[in-house]
Amino acid sequence: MADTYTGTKYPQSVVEQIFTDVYAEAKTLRDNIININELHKSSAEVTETITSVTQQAYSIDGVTLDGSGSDNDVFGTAVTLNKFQYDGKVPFNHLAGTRFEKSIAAGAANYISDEYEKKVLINILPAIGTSLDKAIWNGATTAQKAAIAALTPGAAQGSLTAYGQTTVAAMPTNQFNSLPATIIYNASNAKATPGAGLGDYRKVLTPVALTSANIAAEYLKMYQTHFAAVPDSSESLHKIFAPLGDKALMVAANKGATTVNPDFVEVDGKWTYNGYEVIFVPMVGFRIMCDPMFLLFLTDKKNDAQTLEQQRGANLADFQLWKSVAFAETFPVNQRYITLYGG
Amino acid sequence: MAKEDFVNPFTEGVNYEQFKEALGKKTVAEYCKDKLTSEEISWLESELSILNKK
Repeated sequence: MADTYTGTKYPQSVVEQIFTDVYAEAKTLRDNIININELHKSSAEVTETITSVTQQAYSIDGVTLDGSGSDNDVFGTAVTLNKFQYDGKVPFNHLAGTRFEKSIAAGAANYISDEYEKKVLINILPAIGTSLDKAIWNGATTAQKAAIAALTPGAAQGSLTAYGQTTVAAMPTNQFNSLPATIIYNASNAKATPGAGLGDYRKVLTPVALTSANIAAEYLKMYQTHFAAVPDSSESLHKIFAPLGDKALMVAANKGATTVNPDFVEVDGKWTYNGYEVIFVPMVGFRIMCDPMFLLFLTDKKNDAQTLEQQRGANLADFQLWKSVAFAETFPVNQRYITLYGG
Repeated sequence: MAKEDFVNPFTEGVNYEQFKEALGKKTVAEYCKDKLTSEEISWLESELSILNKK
């Protein structure tokens, strides 16, 4: 006779709120440092428009119907979210009176009634949030890695360096792609060559592994590459996304100099490179300079298939099983104004 | 015999396969001497080393 155990499958309204609290544990999502769309339906289009206008002599005549005074192109790219899960088991003796590594916002646990179920959430949600945060900046799917490995490498603009190809190959294999991975390879229809292929990003020529001795010179290369392409005063919105380790290199570069390096300035914990904010994220080997709104994290918080379930292990086992299903993908827009160091 | 044009790997449209073909039996330093900076030459040597390990 089969043993049947029923667990708890949380209603969608609760799952949605739980995921909001998961995001609170992911710095990138909590602090909105990039463009986040929580209501992207899988395979829905991400739309980019390119509009240009022409200054003309005044005329009392009606506006020409052929639109010669402006040019407006709209590009839609269907972006499919990747479905993935986290799961595991938590022994009961890990839940009783243990001290947890991180505290959690008051939200999620208050929706759950059972004592152990609350404690399972307190145990796992910070870890899920951290995992998501890392995956946004470092990692690629098996298919994406294969696509990037198949690119013909080169040194010039319009090609991926062997350095970048190797860095992607060394990324963790995840269920959705990080921003560096989708910047390097994507299917945007807004690119000069639409469809699947190398991204239209600007690459910094001759990227190398950064040290405290060369970080200023390498950031200068990124800065010069970037502003050779950015055409207008929107540059004031642009920021630099850098690996966590760059902060230590900047500190070392400043301490190693006879005078404080004016390139890297820290005020109240906020770092800038010649006036442009540097945001440290769990990225490895790459640096990105652009308007943060060009970097998209797409998910579908209201998807009915996004679930969180947990139940006690079979046959009165002393552990709780849990499974969380979610959807995500990253995508870059306005790629011609994104500079990638290491690509 | 006409002097062959220098195949600059930093020119858009040139990939490493084309560059390696132009190198022939020369080293990167020999082929690129006086055409590229020492930093660029050193970096290209590193790139080709990565490719050769694949």
